[in-house]
Amino acid sequence: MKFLRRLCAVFSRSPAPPERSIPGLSGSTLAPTYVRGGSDVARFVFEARDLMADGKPKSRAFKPDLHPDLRRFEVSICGLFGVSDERMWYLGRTIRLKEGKRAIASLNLATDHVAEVGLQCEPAPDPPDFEEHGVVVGWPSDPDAKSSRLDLQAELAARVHQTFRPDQK
Amino acid sequence: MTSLAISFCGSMLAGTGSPPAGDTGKHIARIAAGAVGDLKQGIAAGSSAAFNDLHALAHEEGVSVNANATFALAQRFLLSLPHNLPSPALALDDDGEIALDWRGGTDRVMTMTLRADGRLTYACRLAPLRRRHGTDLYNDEVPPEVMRCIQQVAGTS
Repeated sequence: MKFLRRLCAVFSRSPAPPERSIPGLSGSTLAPTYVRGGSDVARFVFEARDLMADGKPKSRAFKPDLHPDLRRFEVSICGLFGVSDERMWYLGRTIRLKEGKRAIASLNLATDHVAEVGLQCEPAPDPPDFEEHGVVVGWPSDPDAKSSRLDLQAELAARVHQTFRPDQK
Repeated sequence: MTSLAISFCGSMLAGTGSPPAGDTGKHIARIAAGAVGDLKQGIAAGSSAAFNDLHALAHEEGVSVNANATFALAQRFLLSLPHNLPSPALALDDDGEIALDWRGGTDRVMTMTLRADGRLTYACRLAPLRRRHGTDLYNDEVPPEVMRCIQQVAGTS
């Protein structure tokens, strides 16, 4: 069974894109292109209370966490450029399995919309736990600026253009 | 019956949680909230969805609504909302604040969090260029700006 899971993970892995400079993205100029301008990113939802009863996302689905080392607020995302649905859901099922959590939904956003809000999508700082891992950065860093962050969270929630469930095809 | 109970108790409780009311005020507010909670549990579930959800959330977190300051405050906040507003969706944030969310249409969003000391943080998004956010104090009366936001998002204004 373990062998089959590993085999499935290998075959569902996204083909590695060439490293290249990414217009519209901050950070490294030689980064994987899974997170790039002009494409989508997904925010996985693990808690039912992050969604309204009708399935629309709440603002809290985009609540940023303070990175302990970089001292900046970040929201984890999964870059979707060149990533298959199978691979995306494989990640959704496994990235928080140690905590006993599986993604119950994927909120898809355009990186360009994130930029319009004044935030940036960029690859996760090294070493990323999975190749497609990205982060939304640019949040107000003052711990007391909660309402400013809430404002941006609400804007991202409003701009989600697709919500997928694992059982949807 | 529900709306009468909400309006009546909302006005009777106004100010009892404020610092000048002291411990006696807080005690009265706690007793009244308990009494109203009992009343709420005795009415049809459909008309008290938010209160049922608050109790469900408290159960998930292993606390009692009346014994926890933030949950008790959230209950008072729900009581002070006009009955024609849709129920908010509730959740507990990592920092211990209770989050209340409303969504209207495809892209109208109102989200607020309530802290045990009454600090209310909110963000209202009606359109990309019609956004408001801020911090206010909940003192048994919903701040007018917050009320306007909820009504606009819910489409009742």
